[in-house]
Amino acid sequence: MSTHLSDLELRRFAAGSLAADDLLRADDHLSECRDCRQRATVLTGAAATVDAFHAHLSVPATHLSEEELQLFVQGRLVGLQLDAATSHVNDCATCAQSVDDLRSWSGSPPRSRIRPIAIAAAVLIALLIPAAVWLAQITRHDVAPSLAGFDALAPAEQSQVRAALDAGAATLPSFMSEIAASREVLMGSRTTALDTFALTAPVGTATLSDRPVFEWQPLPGALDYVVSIFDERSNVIARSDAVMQARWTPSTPIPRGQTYVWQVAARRGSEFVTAPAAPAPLAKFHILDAHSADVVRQMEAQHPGSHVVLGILSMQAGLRDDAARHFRLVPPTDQGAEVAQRSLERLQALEHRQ
Amino acid sequence: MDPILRRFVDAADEAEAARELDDLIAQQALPLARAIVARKLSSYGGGGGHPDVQDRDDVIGEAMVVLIERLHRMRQTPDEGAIEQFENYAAAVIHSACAHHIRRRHPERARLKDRLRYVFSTDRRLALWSTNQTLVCGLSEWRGRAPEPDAGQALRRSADRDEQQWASLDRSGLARAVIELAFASGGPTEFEAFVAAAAAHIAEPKEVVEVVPSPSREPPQDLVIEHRHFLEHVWAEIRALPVRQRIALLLNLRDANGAGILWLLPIAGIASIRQIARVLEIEESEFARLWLEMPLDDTAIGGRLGCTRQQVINLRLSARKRLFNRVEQLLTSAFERQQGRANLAPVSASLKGSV
Repeated sequence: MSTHLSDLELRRFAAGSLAADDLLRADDHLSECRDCRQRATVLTGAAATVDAFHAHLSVPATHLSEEELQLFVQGRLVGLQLDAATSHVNDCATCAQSVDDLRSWSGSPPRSRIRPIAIAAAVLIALLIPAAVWLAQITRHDVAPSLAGFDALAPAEQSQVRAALDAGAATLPSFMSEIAASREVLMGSRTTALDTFALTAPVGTATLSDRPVFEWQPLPGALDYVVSIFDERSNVIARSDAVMQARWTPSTPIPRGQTYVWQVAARRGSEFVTAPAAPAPLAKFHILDAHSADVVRQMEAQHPGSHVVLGILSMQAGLRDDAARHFRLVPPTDQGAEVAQRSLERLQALEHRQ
Repeated sequence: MDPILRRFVDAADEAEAARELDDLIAQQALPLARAIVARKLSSYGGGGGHPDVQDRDDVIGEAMVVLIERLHRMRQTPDEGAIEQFENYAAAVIHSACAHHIRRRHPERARLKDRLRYVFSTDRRLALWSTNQTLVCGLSEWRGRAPEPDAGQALRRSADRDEQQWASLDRSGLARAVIELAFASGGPTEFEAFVAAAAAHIAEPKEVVEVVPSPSREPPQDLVIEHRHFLEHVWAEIRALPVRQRIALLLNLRDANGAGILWLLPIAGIASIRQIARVLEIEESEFARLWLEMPLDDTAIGGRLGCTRQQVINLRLSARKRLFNRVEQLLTSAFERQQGRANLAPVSASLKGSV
């Protein structure tokens, strides 16, 4: 056997900087000398390179774009997009590091680390959810739809609108399933269904204003009403004085970005009648977060005729009535008329389920 | 499905499909990729505002592999999530490849860029919008305006005088710095230009290593055995590929930094350089000279094979698809074996996880 290779020769072998003759000489020695191979393994970090070798043999992953990273960190991805991004981030160290860095810097909640428990599941998801399903629905980066007002939107909102156009209809936010379908036991005093009255607004929707107007049907014989607003832990957030009219506006803003429950107690003689009464669902509503509210307000102020864009933004924000109103105003010849119609059908289907 | 894909999907045989795919890639995807990659990487890499050619080719190549793999899958199973707009789909894939490339090769700047984008997206005093497919940034009252050349020059002048360490600023500090710089620029600027100005003082490491555990000592024996087992199987599969696929695959083999990794085979004792040369049907001394230039780019490989760059990508994709399926089976069985062991080797585990 020839002389053992020096550390420098081994490093140059891996770096591809040995001249052709020296390369073949070193190669001949390495193929016979286990000691030199072991030394080279340590010197070159060969174990880690196996990963690179493997990665090169695989079909490349579709990583998070810059825009998707922002949406992911800001908690603004939903449904399949969120599932696919979560799966990818749990599987891609580079994207995960970017997500973690931005989250820790911005103060957003850390991503859940499921790798140790669910690595096999993540692999399975990555294989089963075709990247195309994800990509067909995610951000369209370069080809802007010719919708009025679209160009005025920030990229994140453009992405949301594109997603709706690609999917054929806008979607409602995840909190909507909670506020629109809850059938929990009524808090407060119980009355019979015949002995109550209905709350009309806001119920099962988000509100743009943080001081929404609360409205209900008058109860015959009622002297006055007291409105109470609770957070999700049943803490009282606001309570009105006794009001004579069947409407009330809070004097101070209600914190944004949260879901609330409200009820009205009507005083009738010596008794109190509370609405809603079991088994009616709790009356829930959601105060839109400040950013989303700003986006919708700016669009309404600057592009009031952009009904497709406004409808999509409103629906994705959970502003059901506003969304429906905008979709109804979309002319049938408009580029987004079909999306508007299908979105409206979704909203109407939700109404019928309730 | 986008009508532009119909001829490829409905092609009567594989030869016709290959021709249609070549047309799709050459006429639709590649021009789009070149435009997007040139724009996205314009302020990175080589001098004179031009991206490094190899970097650019790598990103384009990576995106094309994803696209081709997806198109092949769509032809096989047309009902599985059809592509409604090929141009949009391709753009999304290309942007994804660009973002990942920048994260790996320019991590400090990518980090600052993410933070700047976050501030522009969330601070109500600032705004980020698109005009003519260009991302523009500035104060919120400027929203919707096109980038202004004078503002771009003012931005660069202000950034030259600026001595802040932007990368170390916290959220509120960065927001303040951004507003000051936006005021100083006096009008909307391209977001990429703003990032370049803010990142002017960032020094990136010369080589950026993919985020994987880096061993500093001799790896555990069971890990060595696992790796050897893996590489032996991969090598056996590579030898079973058609020779043109072997060449397209091995001459381009590289890590995340673009460095060649074929040396792993001789160092791991899997195949000597002479054996690799024989498998590639290249004369040994010629291969030894070629070794100095590896990894070769697709144009150079195409020159050896007498085919186009795109055909090289297709050949490598075919090789990857076959190997991917076989390697997956291998890793699954290896992973199942490891489940019984208390001390899982981290790299082996990450191998499984990275599939």
